[in-house]
Amino acid sequence: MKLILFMLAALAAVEGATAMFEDQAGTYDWYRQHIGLVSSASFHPSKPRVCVATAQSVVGCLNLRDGSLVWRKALGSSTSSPAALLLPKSSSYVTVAEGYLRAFDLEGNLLWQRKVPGSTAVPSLAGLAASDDAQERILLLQDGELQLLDPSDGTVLGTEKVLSALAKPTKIAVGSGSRGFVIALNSGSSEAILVELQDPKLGRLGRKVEIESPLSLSDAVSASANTVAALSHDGKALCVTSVRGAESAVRFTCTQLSELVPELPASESFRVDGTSGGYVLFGNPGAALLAADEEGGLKLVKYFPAAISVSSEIRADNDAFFGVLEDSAAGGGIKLSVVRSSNGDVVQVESFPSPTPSERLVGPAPVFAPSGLVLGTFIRKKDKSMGFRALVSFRNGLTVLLQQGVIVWSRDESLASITDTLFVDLPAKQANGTALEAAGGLKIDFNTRLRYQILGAKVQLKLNSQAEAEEFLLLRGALSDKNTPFRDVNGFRKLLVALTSTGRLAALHNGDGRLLWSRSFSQDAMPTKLLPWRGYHDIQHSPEILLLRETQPGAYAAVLNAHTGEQLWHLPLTFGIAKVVPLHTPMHEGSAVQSVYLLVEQAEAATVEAEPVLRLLPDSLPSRKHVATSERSLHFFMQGHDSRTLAGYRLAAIEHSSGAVPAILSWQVHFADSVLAVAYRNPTEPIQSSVKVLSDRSIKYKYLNPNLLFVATGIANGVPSDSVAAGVDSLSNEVTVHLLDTVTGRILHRQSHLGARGPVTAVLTENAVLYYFRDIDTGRFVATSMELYDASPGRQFNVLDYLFNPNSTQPVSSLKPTPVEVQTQSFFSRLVPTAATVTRTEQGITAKQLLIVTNTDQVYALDRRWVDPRRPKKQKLTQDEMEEGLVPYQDTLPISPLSFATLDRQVLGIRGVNVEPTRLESTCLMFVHGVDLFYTRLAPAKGFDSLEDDFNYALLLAALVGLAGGAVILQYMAKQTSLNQKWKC
Amino acid sequence: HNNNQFAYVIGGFIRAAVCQHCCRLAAIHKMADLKTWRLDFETLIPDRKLQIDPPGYDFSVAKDPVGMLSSSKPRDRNTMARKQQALFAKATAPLKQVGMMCFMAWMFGNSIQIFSIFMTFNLISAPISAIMSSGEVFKRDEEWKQLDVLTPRLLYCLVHGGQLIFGLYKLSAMRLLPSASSDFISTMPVPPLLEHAYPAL
Repeated sequence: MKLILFMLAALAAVEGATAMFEDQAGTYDWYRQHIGLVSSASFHPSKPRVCVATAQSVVGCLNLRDGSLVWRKALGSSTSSPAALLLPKSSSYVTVAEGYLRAFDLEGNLLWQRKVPGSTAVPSLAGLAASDDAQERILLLQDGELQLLDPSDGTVLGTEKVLSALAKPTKIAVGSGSRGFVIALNSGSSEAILVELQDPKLGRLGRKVEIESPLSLSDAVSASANTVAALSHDGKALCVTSVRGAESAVRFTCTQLSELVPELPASESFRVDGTSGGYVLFGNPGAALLAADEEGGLKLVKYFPAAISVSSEIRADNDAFFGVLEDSAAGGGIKLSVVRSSNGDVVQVESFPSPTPSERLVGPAPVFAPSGLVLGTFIRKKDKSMGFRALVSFRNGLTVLLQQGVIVWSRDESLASITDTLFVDLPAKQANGTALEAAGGLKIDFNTRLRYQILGAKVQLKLNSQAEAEEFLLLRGALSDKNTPFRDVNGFRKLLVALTSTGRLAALHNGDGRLLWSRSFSQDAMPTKLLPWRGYHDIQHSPEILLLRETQPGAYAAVLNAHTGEQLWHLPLTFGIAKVVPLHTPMHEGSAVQSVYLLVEQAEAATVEAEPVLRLLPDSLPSRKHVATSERSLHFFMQGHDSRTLAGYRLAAIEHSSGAVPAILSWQVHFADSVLAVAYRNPTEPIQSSVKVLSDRSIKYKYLNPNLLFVATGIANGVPSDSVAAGVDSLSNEVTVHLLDTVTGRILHRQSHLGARGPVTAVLTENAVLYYFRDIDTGRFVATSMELYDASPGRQFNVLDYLFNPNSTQPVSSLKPTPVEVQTQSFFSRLVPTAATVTRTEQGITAKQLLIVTNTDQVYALDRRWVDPRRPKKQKLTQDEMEEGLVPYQDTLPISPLSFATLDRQVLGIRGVNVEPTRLESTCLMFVHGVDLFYTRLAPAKGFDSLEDDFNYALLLAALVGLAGGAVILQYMAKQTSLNQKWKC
Repeated sequence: HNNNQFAYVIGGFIRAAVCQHCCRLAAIHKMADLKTWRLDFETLIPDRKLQIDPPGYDFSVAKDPVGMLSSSKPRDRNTMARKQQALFAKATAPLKQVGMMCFMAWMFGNSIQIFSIFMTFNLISAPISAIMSSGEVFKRDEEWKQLDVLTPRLLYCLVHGGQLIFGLYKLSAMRLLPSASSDFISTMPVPPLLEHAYPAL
């Protein structure tokens, strides 16, 4: 009981750091929900819903009226887009991802799910539409096996081995005519297999027919009512076959596209869409509507030369239509034409303006290249006539709904694909502050401020109504200085520069996440890395950021002004970059602090075995001199020729050579098992003290070698080992962790965990390592904590020497290694980690918290004292142990709901956590990005050095004035009383 | 004889009455002198220096009663011994108080709380201020030049020094005194490293 009480008290003391009150929500944090880059979408025919599947492996439905999220689900951690299918009759959204076939209803409830047997490759999914005599059916093709499923409960109605001989992924296309059939073919092969639906009512599969083709076929395949068409593998011919009365084996007849549609320019990626009477061939730009007769002959019906996107066919009013999106010549807008697919008549043409982003755009105007177009219908309220609407998704992440000549809504989803982020200082107020626009919104005068203070006092004393509480929150947002685009004394306000995989560089204000500027890059000039380049100590200059495009062709390095987004210079690189190595001693040039990078050149395929070649960036004489003087000997390590090998290299003298610097192999470590995780210390992590003083005042020297690498090896993730499958000997699985010195390749420590498997998550900070692995027997995750101490014997410390001898701290060398003492302890963890990092403050004095990214897409702030290996294994602690803040050992790490750094939010698909120190020692900033974005301010040891931002000065002032007034009145009263008393006697 | 006796009594009465009358006359006569010894509200204003001595007060007698008794001023050895004794008593007077303070401090224990911190602060600051102001307490008497002031003063300082030492001991027991080498090492910088290996993973 006492123990529980003590633990509770300790929890209250320790874990309160991230907790906050209800009314503080949204003060220091903001949260943006995204759904991802839309890859496929479908309108529900009657309900106001549009369901989408995205490239971030998320499915969900949007409200058609305003584009808001109704529901969304992450189907897995992969970044491939799931196959999805909206079945209108049963109102279910069927998705397949990561081995599961799932059906959701339109509100996001899971109707059923079913394991898809076979490999992890994304299976092909198709739906059979309901007709008068047939029900809706789901067709699923996986590993050559075709399954027919009932959409109401997912039961398998029929199975057919279609292409079991072919291991490659196969494609299916469903004919849309009265006779249902399935075509399955293998990309690159010249054979296809046709399966008839013998009894569409029951959905039974029937006879299969093999079809041969004179040309090998690609996976661009589609079917119309009675024919099947596939592009040839070289993309130059379209092969069609008739399936009407296919009693015997038939052949594809191939027609060259240049003969068929002479105007259509050659394209790398043609797309074929089947319509009821033929095909739409789309070649970006340019689209052709082809009619197919029953024998498989093709005829050009209409050609759309300016088409930039084509939708698939929809049926409405006993007719079939498809949409064509074209660049409209005037004003740079877009034009949507709806075409009747039977004869090519354009039914409706509407022009729309280009979507305009609200932030300031820098550089070349963004190109709105559509990546997908989906057509839907609606009934006009006025005259009950049918109209068309379209959902267009653009490559830059924008998704818009077009209807009746206006953009009804647009969703900018590019920030759901952030790959790199960087915190940059905002401009100072008196300097070039005009670069960033001021915060708009509410007009702030004295009355507003007064009203805010009065409301604040009311809320504090709980005298407020609900409306007043809301007004208070609104005013607090407007009056708070956290949103002004200038830097502050405490360094809380920062510019957050983010690079997305859609080729967009966006600068966000960290106060509320609004975009200050953004810059778009075209597909072939998309940067892949965002790094700091130049910072300044004076306030006249803006910080500069470096953008790198690593892959050839088109590799370049470009430097941008972080405040304006202007490009300062652009340097095309003659080589591809394999790795970027930031050197951590920056170069000082006057008031500028210049970052220096080593670029590992991408090796040619033939010379993979050769030693890597490095380049310096910036490659100038001063930078070479700087590197030569600051780094006595420069080493680096990278993955060797296979994934189990690590190789360390030493750099040749850098000062005198120009251009490429060769590296010399100095060590190589080959691990017996595959590498599950590596972790190394952030070399720029500030460390306040190199010793730990125990409660008996003895000194322990921390082992603070920055060249320390943690490597965990074991059976690779996802590989089922035979013994595990048989359940015989789980102990033969083991995870081994190694601590390496990366200068010499020497293994300093090694320990093994029997009966353990990956995935391993590890974080290394200061002299402590925390790693998680899975225990097979218990099926739980285990957190093992290691603390490393210098164990050199006879190390003495002399106070006088330390105080008066400036040379008392001697430099250490990896070549003269010191023995390491490792303290280790294991705990069960209720959290399942997927990644881990650590908080970072300006000086490193504040106690650190470990930030554990969990599989539930949250971030948990774990105090380091819970994973202290010195936690005593007894319940009654001595005075000394209590003084040291030790907590009695328990086999399971406690989990406090208040310790989630992401509060009650779920940051879907977390890919990165970026922690930035502020100028206040107690506080750091955390930005979590995945599909969602979350930003907050963390105080790992509470805000010991500042008043809260919402400190009520009015209440303080009122209290002071009240006290002063009271004192004056009381003094007067006391005088009067004493005078009266004197007169009495 | 009875008549005589009666006459004697009567005479006594008369004498007493006469005497009383005379006294009253004398008093009335004296009233005229006391006219100057008068107080009113104006004389009570503190700034105004108006020396009024009570009747019968002789300044010279009041100033030096010994001189009045004996016109010569011999140094009385007895008085000097008593004065010396008084000084020693003064020097050892805080002993009891110091003992009490130390006992209380010991009772508070070595935990760091607001009371024990106040106590310890007092334990240290009081003797320091007492020792600093010991010169005021043991002033050299100009008239008794041979009186020994220094020894009682040292004794006084010793007593307070005892308290100071106890206070420091207390501070050390509370681990607020930087006496171990580990108290100086916590800010020891991280030793620089000669080689750097950078990850390119």
